[in-house]
Parts: sequence; structure tokens; C-alpha cells
Amino acid sequence: MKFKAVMYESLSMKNLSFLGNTLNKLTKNCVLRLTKAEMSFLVCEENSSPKQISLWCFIDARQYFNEFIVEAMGPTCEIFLEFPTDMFSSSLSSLKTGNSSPRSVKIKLTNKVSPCLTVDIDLVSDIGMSRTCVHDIPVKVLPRLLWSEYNDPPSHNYNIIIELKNLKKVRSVVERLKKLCSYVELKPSNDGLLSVSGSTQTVTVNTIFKNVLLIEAAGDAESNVRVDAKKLYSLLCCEVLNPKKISCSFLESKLVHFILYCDLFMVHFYLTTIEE
Amino acid sequence: MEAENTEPHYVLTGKVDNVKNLTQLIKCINFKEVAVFFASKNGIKIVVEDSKCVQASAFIGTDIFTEFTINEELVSFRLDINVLLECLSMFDQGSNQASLNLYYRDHGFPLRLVLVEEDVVTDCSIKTLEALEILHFDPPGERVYNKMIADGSGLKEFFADLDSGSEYLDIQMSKTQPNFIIRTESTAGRCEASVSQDAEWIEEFVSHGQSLSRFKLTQFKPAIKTIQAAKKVSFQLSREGLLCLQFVIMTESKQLCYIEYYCTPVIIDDDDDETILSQEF
Repeated sequence: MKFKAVMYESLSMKNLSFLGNTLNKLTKNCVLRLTKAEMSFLVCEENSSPKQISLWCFIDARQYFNEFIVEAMGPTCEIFLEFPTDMFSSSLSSLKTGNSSPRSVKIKLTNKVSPCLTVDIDLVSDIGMSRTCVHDIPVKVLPRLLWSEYNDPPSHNYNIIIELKNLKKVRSVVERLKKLCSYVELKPSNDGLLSVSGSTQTVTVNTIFKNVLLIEAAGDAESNVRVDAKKLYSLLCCEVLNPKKISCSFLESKLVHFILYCDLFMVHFYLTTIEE
Repeated sequence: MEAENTEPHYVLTGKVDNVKNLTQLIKCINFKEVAVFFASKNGIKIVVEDSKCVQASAFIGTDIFTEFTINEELVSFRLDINVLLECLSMFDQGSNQASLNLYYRDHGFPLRLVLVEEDVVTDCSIKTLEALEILHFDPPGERVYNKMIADGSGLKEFFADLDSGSEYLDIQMSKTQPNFIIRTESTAGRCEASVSQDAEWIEEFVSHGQSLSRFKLTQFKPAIKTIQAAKKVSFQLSREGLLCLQFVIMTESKQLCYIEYYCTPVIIDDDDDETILSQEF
């Protein structure tokens, strides 16, 4: 089993540390899935049985990294690792600090007493001093038996698919709403509107976003979903990854599926309805 | 939408081009949950009270509104000020200014706020409660004992040194220099700031004799928050020690609004009183 990834571009490094931060906000432990061409982070719902995955982040590794090698046994040649997100995000934090610029980042799977994900960052300071910063993150290599639990995102026949033009605004509205109420209702309409509403004993708030592009609509079925406000907010924080396009698909009144298309990676997340 | 079809009769409607003008004022008086809302042909007054000792009112004149209609002499109700503030600041993070339309139909109906920012519309309905009687403090007016008018920025710096761990705040005003002294005392020590009436940021100082009043610092804190936003502050102490502060606040669109703040003093224990006075004189 072998894994090594190297990158030299500063923009990608910045994105990687953003991603580490976002994962840290969402969950304590995250699963990293490695294949020959792809690297994906999977976030599972805490305390759920059977396992429910709420977020997938696929990275086109061959383009994102300058060097990307995965070697493993078996026909699919895959590696599954589970690691603590707080350590991952703090290991990458030196990529953001202003006074020294990172030259390269290497991520390797190493065996130091226990299996570790080693993050090796080469930094150059303003006056030309170079230093290397190495972090070892203990990981759990998941046995093949458990692999089947980490499937690709399920595909459904969605009722309505829309494209959101301004996720930042949606996020800031949801941020206010979560202070007022614990659940938020999302309701798309066939004429290009998305309504985000919440209500409590003292107040009802309904926000309508007009600039929504309808991609696909099948039938006139009701497709409003009522989701946990805090969770929706923490997922919408992915907006810092600066996606080019965001699509939002609704399945009846059951779930909503967000896809964030970024330059070299893609983030999927699912939220299911919470009944009143 | 349905409201527009049936054209309900509103007793109060208002329109503000930049909602931040309102949020700025309401933030200053947001120290308790419930606020009383009054509207008359002169504008809107929002009053917040705490334990029958502190009262803060924000006056929003009709000039802040681009449209303002009222069909009754006086409209009054209570509402949750935190909810009001959250609703008004819905688009605070946006770069564009949001406009606000405000509707109130009648007794028992919710206060409806419609905020518009570019292509996003928010419609909030805040439940209202019956207005309860509020405290009536007489403005010191003629009976004022000590009075000072100061620049907000100067007074802000003056109050910045307060020890926030203290339970009380003593304010002393007198004819002799230094004319204005504030004092706090906590386990960390005694902290005193004094200034004479010739200071650059003091515009006017009128004193009829020495007065020393003590206030609960927690009750004074909302006033400190308001000083930071104020352009001018009038600081008045009555003979009985009642504190009356009046703030002039400049909104983002350069209109003037007023906030008034009353705070009753607490009784100073005789022993403490003696020590403080003996140290001074």
C-alpha cells in the first residue's frame, strides 16, 4: 500500500487548507478514499446506523496535484483511511500564514509506529530562510469489509433542479435564520424562485431569491424540504471554496442535494427532511 | 402577495431606503428582550426598560422614512427586540443597501417587515403583544443640577478606561476642577478618570454644586455602547441623582436621530461615602 501526493501551486495549497478547515467545522472524523485518479473526502453523519454519508468531496487528483501515486492490492486499487479532521486542518494551517510562503506540500502514507498520514510542507520565509514543517496524523486504515459502506452519492430522479447564483447571500440569510429558528424550509418553484423560510412562535420569516436558474423540472410535485438550520449553515460554509456553479436538486419532500462545482473538485452534500 | 390583492387597511406604514439607519439605532438599545414600540405622526419611538431603573428610548423621526403614514393618533405594541434586530439585519453582510417597508395593520396583528436587496426579498412577520405601561421619567430640564455637553468621540475615550469588573460606577460633577470624575472599584483595584471643563471635547459645562451619584455598572453599560455611536452627548444629573443622557446619532445617510437614556442611582452606603469624600477633600 503506497500513497504519495505532491503539489507546488500556491492557489491549490490555499484551497487545500480551506478544505481542511471546512471539514473540521463539519465533523470530527472524516474518511479519505484514494483511487488511481481521484481523492475524495467523505463525511458521515455522526451516531447513525446504518452509516449515512452526508458529504462527498471529489478531487480530480491528477490535475490538482503535480504528482499523485496510489498503489494498493486488489482489482480496484483503493485505499480507505479515517483521520481526525482537526489534526488535518491544523497541519495545513501553515499554508495560510502570511510571513512565509509555502514552496511545496507532500502528503504521504507512512508507517511510524502506527499508520500515519504525513504532511510535509516546505516553507520559504521573506529573507530566504527555508524550513520544513512535518506533521504526522494518525490514521485508521479501513479494512476491505467496510468499504461497501462508503458508496458514491446515490442518484435519484429529482423533481426539480435549480442553479443558485449567489450562495453567499443564501448563506448569510441562513445565518440569521438559524439564530431565530432551528429549522429552515427550502422551497423551489417552477418559475425560478427559491424561498427560504422559518417560523417560531414569535416570528415568521420568508426570504425569496429571485435570481435562480431552473435547470430541470419534472411535474408539479411539491418539493419543499424542512432541514436543520445549523447543519444547513455549516454546509453552506463550503462557499469559501469559491465554486463556479452550484446546483441544488430536490427530491419530492424528502431530501435536497447540493453540488458545488469548483475548479478541480466537486462537493456533494445531502440534507434530509425533518418532519414537524 | 395576497395582502396586496385584498388591500388591507394599515394603521401604520413606513419606508426606509437604507435599513442600516434603523439597525444602528436599535442596536444601541438592545439590552433587554422586550421593547415597546410607539408611533405617532412625529415618527417612531422604541423603548426598552430594565428592572424599573433604566429606560432607553430611540427616537426615529419621520425624516428617516421616505414614506410614512399613520392613521391613528398613537399606535403602540410590544415586541421581541432581538427578533426585530435579527430580521432587520438579514442583509447586513451584503454590499448593497437594503430597503425596508414596514406595515402594521391593527391591534393584535403582527408587525410586517419587507426587506429588499437587489434580487432578494425577505418578508418577516413579528408577533406583537399589548403595550404595557412604561416608566415616566421627567427630564431634568430646569431642575438640572449638573450638566455637560460633550463630543461623542472624546467621551468614548474617557469611558474606555473603565474597569468592567466593577459592580458600581460613581460619577462626580462639581464646580471645582477636575469637574467631572468617574470612579470604579473592583478586586483589581480602584480606577478613576477625571477631566476638567476646559477639555477640548467638552462643549458646555454647567454646575450648581457638587454631586456624587452611584450607578450599577451593568445598567450603565448600554449607555457606554451608545456613546460609541454618538456624535454628541448631553450628560445631566438632577439634584436627586437621576442620570439623563441624550445622544445625537448620525445615521449612515447623514440624518440625525436621538436616543435618550435614564438611569436611577443606587444608595451609597454611608461608610463608603465617607471614605470616597475624605479621600477627595
